[in-house]
Amino acid sequence: MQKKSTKKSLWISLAVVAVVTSAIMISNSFLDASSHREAPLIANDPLADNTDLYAFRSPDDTNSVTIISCYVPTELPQGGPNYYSFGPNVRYEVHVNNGSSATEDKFIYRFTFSQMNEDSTTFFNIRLGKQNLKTTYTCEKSSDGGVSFTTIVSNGVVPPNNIGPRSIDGPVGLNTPYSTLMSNAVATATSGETIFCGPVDDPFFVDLGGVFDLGQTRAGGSGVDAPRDGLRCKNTHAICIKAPIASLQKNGLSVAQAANILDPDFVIGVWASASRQQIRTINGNGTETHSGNWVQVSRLGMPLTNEVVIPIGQKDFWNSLTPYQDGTYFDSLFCNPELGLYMDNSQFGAAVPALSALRIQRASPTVLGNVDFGNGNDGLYVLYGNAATTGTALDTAIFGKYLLRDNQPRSVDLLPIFYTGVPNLAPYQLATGKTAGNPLSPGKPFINNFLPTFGDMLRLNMAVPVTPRNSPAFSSEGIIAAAVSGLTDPMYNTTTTLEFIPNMDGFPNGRRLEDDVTRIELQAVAGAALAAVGLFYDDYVIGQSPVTPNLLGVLGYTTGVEANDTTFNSSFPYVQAPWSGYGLCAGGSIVLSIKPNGGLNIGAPEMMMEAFPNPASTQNTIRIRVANRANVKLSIYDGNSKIIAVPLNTMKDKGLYDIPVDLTRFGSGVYYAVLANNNQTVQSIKLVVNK
Amino acid sequence: MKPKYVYISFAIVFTFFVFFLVKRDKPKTELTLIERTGTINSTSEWLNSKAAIQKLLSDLRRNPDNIKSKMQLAFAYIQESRETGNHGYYDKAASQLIDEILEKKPNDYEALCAKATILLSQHHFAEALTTGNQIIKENSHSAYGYGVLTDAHVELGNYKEAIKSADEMISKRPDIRSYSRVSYLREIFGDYEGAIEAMKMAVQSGIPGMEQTEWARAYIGHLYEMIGKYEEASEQYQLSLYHRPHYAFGLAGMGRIEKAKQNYSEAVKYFSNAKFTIKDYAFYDECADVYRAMQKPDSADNELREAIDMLSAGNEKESNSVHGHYSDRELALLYLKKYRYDLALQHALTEYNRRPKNIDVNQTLAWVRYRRGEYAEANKHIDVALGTNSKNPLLLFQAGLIKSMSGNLTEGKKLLQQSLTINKFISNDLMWEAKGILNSVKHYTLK
Repeated sequence: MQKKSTKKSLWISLAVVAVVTSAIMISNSFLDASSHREAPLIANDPLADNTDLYAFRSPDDTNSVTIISCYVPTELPQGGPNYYSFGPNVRYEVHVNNGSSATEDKFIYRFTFSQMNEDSTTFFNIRLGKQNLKTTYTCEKSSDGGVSFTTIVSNGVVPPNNIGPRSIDGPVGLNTPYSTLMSNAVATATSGETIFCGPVDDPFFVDLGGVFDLGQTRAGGSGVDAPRDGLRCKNTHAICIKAPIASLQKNGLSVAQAANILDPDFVIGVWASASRQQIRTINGNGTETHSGNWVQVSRLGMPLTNEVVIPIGQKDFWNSLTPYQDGTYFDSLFCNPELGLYMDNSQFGAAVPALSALRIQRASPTVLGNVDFGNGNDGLYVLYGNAATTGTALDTAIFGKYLLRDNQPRSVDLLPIFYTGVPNLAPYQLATGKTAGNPLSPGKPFINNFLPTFGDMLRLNMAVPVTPRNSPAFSSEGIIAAAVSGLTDPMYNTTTTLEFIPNMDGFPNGRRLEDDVTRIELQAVAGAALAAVGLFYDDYVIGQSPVTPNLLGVLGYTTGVEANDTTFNSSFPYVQAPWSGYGLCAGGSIVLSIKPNGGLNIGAPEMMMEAFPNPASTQNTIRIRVANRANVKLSIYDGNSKIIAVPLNTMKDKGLYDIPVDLTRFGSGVYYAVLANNNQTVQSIKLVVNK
Repeated sequence: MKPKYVYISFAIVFTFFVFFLVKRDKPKTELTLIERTGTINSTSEWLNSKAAIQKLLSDLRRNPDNIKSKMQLAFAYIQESRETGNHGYYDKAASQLIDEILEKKPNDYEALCAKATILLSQHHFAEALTTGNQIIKENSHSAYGYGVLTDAHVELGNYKEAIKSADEMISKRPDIRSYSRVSYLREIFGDYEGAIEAMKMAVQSGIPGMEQTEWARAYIGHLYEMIGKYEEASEQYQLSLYHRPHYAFGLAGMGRIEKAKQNYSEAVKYFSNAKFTIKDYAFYDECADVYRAMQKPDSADNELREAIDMLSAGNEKESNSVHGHYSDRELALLYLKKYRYDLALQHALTEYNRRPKNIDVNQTLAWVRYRRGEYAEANKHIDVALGTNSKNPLLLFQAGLIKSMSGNLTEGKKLLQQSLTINKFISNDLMWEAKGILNSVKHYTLK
């Protein structure tokens, strides 16, 4: 029934009518727009995603320490039009604890970024010397635990993304080499630090597809399923700070004044964070405010803690805490690590063949009996209160109450590595010089990064000398390499004297850019640190060589990706310039996350391809990787979506295939190679032909 | 035994046997990926999504009990549901996977999150609320869980609880998800300025070009439209199309802008492109409005029929099933446009019985009652619809008409004035309706 006018009508004021009659008529239908389009529940926040943290003594300026904190994961070099940058509404912070307080940071470096457009008439990021989304920053420093801040860099320059040669080097662009843009962006803070903020090559390297596919790394695979650095050709955004050691040391001492190379007063704990501002829905008085608390949404100390250790459901909570609040919330996760189950034949050891070389100690022989480090067992808790622990770190009068926990066997190694640092006390000394079968006896010192704050931080003893990057002894195995040298190298294994062993300055004593932290952490979960201090593997016989097949298996383990995909610079900021959007690295595929709380869920695709060279003029090659037998069809389309060539359309066994593509009859322009797996398109890449 | 009973017994046994065989042998249908159509099938995002999903399907074929792959595939389908608008298919596909996980792990956090998301998509808000509470019980620090509670409370009309949940959510994690929810609550509580500001923060915390971010950006456009700022709205829609070419909600937004300019042919083109990208009933509905403005009633009817068919397919056949979608409010509004007031009332009441406190549901029912000339009933429901102090100009205009027709002329006039102050570009149909009322008053003619 249609409504009709009745006598119950009304006057509407003339003013209202005037408005009405002059109005553009518009339908009301938008008000009923699709009810399915609810606000998103699944989303990531890459601009506030702290991906990696490094802290190391600067190799070319050994009186200083460099801290590098990276944000924004897996940036594609050819990211246009949506090039990433630091977020304007994000508070980025780097925190340093130098032991002067166990409950709060000593220094906080806070970075805030802003953007401006210099030429809003173009959609190009850069044109004729003008830059859009030009980013600058302010760095403030707190030296009182965050009570007050002082600006130490104003209007700091963030270099643009490395879009391509025309935008960067060319006269129609910025007309400046990228290296110059980077060096021009290095600022000196009023408090003495050297600072750089900007896009860089992602210095991390890891077989993402393998590691996050339940640890199924691909080293030694068939060659078809070869390990791949998931961060190859990817960029990230880095905040780099180089600070004099004396400015960080708790008493203002220079490194020359250290008592020895493991001086406990030179330990710092570093962590980084990103925060966003909370806003209220409605205030009590009906108004709202946009100046709410800053909520930490990401933090990072030790690598891979967040990714591998913290359960998905706890990530919001974990990210919101400081290391000082970690307390007992998460430490049990390190004491019975899930990964340990896959390194234990009595558990799920057979489930991940790639980890078969990594077996934890289930019956480590000692003079006090065999020790079981399998999840849920007691480990060294059997020594709790035992007189044999007197004077050691396990003495209940020292740290025994923290380190010895029933049914939490890894409270003696993984927990201190991640949560407190490792003190220079037995049993945390190398087995060199120890009584056979007695890990509690004094051994050779090799680490002291103990900073008892009971939380996730990257701990660095700044007194430990630097291993030159060009030294033959330099190893991406960090402390594990140092331990191996200290145990087996006649240069170091004849005395218990404290001396510098190469790579004592490596992870987990800080983290150098070169350190292969994935491998080191997996080896540590497999009990490598326990073995280093004399809790050898099950095949060890007391009194005989500890270099057993089990130990060699752990030490020989590799993920297959042990180095970055490019070099590092020898001077600050050490990280490499970002990959160019027009270079060989361009043309990769976007990594998608499909999980509710972030995380990279990248499985190795069944089929994929890359083209080289690209751009090309007369011929290029398309390399296709086929994981399982399938019909492989490769088609080339022109810019009008017309098929102009089908270089391959046949069944192929698993393998790598290089398909040459003759470009002589192609004119200059953009083409698309489309790859289909059993008639399902799986990838397309842009081919550029330059004649 | 008599032969008759022997035959009957045999027949019964045979029937059971056949039933058993059929049931036992019926292969479980694998709900796989459907090729995208239209312009979104050529994006690198689609190719990557497809590669990831095919890998997960392949993993599951090899190891059907791989819970991790199952979970990831479910979330991928949930996202695909958003990207393509094919909620009926993908929600069902995701549900199937999640049910299998929950059967083995009834308290699994991620599975519960996925289940709640699907329930919200299906408009099963009461069940979503229950699941949301279950998520919080499992993990009181979960921003996701509070997001589910916010949405469910809003839809069920528990607005105080919704605000509490949204504030809790943003205290756990300020990001695009929580900013956008705060924005929506500010909107329905009558604060457009604050809603726009919050949604801008949502956009700034998202990845430009991703669906979620561009959804939020297009929603800013919607908010500007609501307050009559069409240039600002147009800018947001164009930005969303720049960052995500062919984005359906950017296209639809531009369609509305063109309609506002009375460039009807351009508007139809935009809506047609949006429909080509995502098959969403709303675009057909909006296209129908344009055809009506163009004096093309047959074309408008075709669009409405399509929209009704789309919603009815999921609603009428499956409204009581686990995987069905509740679309009664939307159907009520579509039937109103078709002048099928009986069906409109039927659907409006069905939804009202589910969600008697929700302002949108009450607005819909009030308007259906108004159209039927049932002013007292309409007045009762429009009061509930006005309960959050919303400044939605259409709500205020409808409320003005309802109040006027139910005898409260002063209040009616005030509401109409308020509506036109917020957005003077109100519905053509409604303006003429106001004229009808005004013309019945002596000495006055609407020009």
